[in-house]
Amino acid sequence: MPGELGPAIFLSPHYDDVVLSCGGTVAALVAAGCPPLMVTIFGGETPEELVGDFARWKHRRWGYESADAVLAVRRDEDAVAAAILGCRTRWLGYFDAIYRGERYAADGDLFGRLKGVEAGLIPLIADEILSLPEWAAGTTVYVPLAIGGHVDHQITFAAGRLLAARGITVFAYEDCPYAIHSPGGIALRLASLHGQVGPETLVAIEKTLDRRIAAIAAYTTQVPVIFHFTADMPGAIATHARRIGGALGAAERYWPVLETRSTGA
Amino acid sequence: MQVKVEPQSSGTAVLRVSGRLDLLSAMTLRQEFTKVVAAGQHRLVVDLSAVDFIDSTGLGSLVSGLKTARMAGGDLRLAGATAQALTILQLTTLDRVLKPYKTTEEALTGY
Repeated sequence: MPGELGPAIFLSPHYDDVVLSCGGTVAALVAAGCPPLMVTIFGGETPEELVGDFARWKHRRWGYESADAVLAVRRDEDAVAAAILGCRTRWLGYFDAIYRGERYAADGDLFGRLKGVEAGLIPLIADEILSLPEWAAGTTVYVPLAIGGHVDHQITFAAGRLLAARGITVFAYEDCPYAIHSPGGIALRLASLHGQVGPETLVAIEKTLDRRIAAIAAYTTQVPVIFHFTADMPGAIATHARRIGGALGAAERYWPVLETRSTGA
Repeated sequence: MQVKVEPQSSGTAVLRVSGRLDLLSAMTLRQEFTKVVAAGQHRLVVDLSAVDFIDSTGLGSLVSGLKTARMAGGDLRLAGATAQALTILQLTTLDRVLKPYKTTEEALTGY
């Protein structure tokens, strides 16, 4: 593990992010007798008034007509993926960026600059993680590095920075599949962070790679959309994991989030 | 968290909530909404003036109550939200759906 073996909480901006990026590490923790908690941050039940044209377009792309239908299927998929990995889950009540009014009304907005007002969400999320019933002294927290720049990933990373500033061990994970289809985004993101994270560390996952792939496949509505660049999801995941792992075999990649005092995204 | 239900006339009820509305208490409030609506009160006013903290899961219970009330042909209004509650409502944009009224009397007017 990147941190010491013990209690761990993986923060997933959306229902699939941790499984896509860290499924092998989660399964390895389970095998080591430390089943982690997977927390989806932006997984709230959404009133229909918050479903605008952009969100409706997203729903149609996923094959659903309402936010309720989307939520039901996403939670079912997440529960299946968690069962495959053997971990526990919690779903917080924040709304996905596509439901937060006119703040993000197109894909370009979703992968752009965080709207200033949303900085207020960062301490709320950090405090909510610390108040989870599963929180224990010595818990290691995992957050997305936010490769690709999705605003919900940026907010979750910033919550991780805030937790690190409070003395908690936090690691940022490599967002997949962004890191697979746009590898140049890793260097761009690291450069933008100006030393907020330390040197990368690898976790060997050859023994749990198949479990990660099986758990990813549980997100049946999402796989065709997010793996639009390939017809071979298992091959894309395995090839990337073995490329970054080198002599270790398949691996997942993390960066320690450093104890800095600023909380910007 | 505690909830006191005060039925009003003609299908309306005030739910006075006190304490923390968070992950640990949200389910209790959801169940209370279900019971109240099943009892025939589907126009709900939730008095938050004695709620000292709401987290996102607590907000989720309010959304659930809104949907339960609407499915029965009613609605849900918030009253007396504290500064902390107003902040999280605004940050999440939920204030656009659950417009906060200053008092329960104001929320009940014309309901």
